[in-house]
Amino acid sequence: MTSYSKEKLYQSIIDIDDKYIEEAQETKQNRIRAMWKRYMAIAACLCLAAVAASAIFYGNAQPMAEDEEIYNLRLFQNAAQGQEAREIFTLSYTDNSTEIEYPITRADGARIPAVFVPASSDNNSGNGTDMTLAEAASFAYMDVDTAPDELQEKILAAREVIIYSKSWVADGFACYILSPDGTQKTVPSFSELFPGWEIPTIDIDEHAFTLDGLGEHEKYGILVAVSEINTDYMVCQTTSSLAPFAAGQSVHVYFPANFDASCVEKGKTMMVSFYGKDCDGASGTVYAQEIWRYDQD
Amino acid sequence: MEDNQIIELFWDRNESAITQVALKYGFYCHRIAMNVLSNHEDAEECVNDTWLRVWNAIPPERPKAFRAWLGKITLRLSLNRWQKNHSQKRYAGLEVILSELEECIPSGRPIEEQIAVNEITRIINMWLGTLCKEDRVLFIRRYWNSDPVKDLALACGVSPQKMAKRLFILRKKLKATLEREDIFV
Repeated sequence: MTSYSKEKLYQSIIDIDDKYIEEAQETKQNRIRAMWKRYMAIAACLCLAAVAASAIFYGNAQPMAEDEEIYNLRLFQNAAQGQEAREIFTLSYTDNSTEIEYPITRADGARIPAVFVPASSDNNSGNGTDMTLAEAASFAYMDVDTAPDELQEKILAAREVIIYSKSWVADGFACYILSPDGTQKTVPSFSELFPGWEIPTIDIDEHAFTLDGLGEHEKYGILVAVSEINTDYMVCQTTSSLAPFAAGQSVHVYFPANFDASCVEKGKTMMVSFYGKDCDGASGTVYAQEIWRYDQD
Repeated sequence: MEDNQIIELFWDRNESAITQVALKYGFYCHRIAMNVLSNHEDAEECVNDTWLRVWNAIPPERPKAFRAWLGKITLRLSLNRWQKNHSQKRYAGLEVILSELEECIPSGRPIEEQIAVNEITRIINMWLGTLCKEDRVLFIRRYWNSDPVKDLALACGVSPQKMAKRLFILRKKLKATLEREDIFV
């Protein structure tokens, strides 16, 4: 085959229809946004997969475009009297049509959003009902305690629609959002917006978080530098952080079944993917689902 | 700034058009050139050549899909540079893409003896229209944007090996289409 043939085919691809090129560029942007949303939904401030994605999309290949408008969200946990509030989550994002929810575990074991910011373009998204805001408003403010049983359910459903249409922060937390125009908004507390209402809890089955804060059935990625290779595991140092692992921590990564370890080399950076249920932060152990060379170009 | 406003600046022969297009699409064009040439200096020169080409083309042109149009200019300039220099320089980016595309070429006589570029483009457009959106986007991101396989893999949540296999299947499908269209007859 001559080189000219290949080039000719390549030239033909260059000239493909603009609509397909635009479609690919749009999908690329949306995919990045979708990834952000997913990472946010699983409390991903320290998620390695997000760090890895950031390294690739925003570091090596596609940093935020200069003209993109960046929002900064900061979440603080209020401390006991006389102590400073502790910052527990920060997020920079470019798409305010993305829903943000940062879940935490309350002292009683219930999982609640510490902060919720609805998608600006679709305020009813995620409420799981067909109820409009106007419909919800007509039921939500009724007295649930004195309402008949059949109405109580409707009132609570309406409240959920209202709750998930506004930005709020759980009591005991403080949240600020810095907009691209430089204005800073203080996110109101839940009790301030909805006095007397119950804060919604997150369905444990749906999110299935482990004690380490990772979703049991969510897949994560972690970048590691290999320092020792054994028959069925490798000893590595993490090069990115994902709770419960800190950057630079030594971890034992067990190979998946039938894994060909010949691609693993000492000193090389590897991407390790695993499910939340397959890691143990205390002992620094990860049972890998897949492992691949990250620096193989 | 909106694309049509930038195009108007070009039509007005306002030099800030170059600043605006570079601000909005500088990184996009640089990445396209960089993926092909894998050399920052050469990619930068290609991008600067792109702005000059755009300055000379508008007016009279008024591109409808400005981003795609810019990308095509950058790609053609990158390909020209590759053709001019590749015997002296190793441009890893396009070398890999071309070696993959070689698998799509039906065996038999070389393409250049048989058919014009625009006819192949017509067939590829038709073939792209038959693919599901995800496959179509993957194909374009790999062979038009020259995005690395590992980036595509990460975006789709699969390993690079799985992504490479999927792209291999797409190349085979394109080859079958080119054969079916008798482009070498």
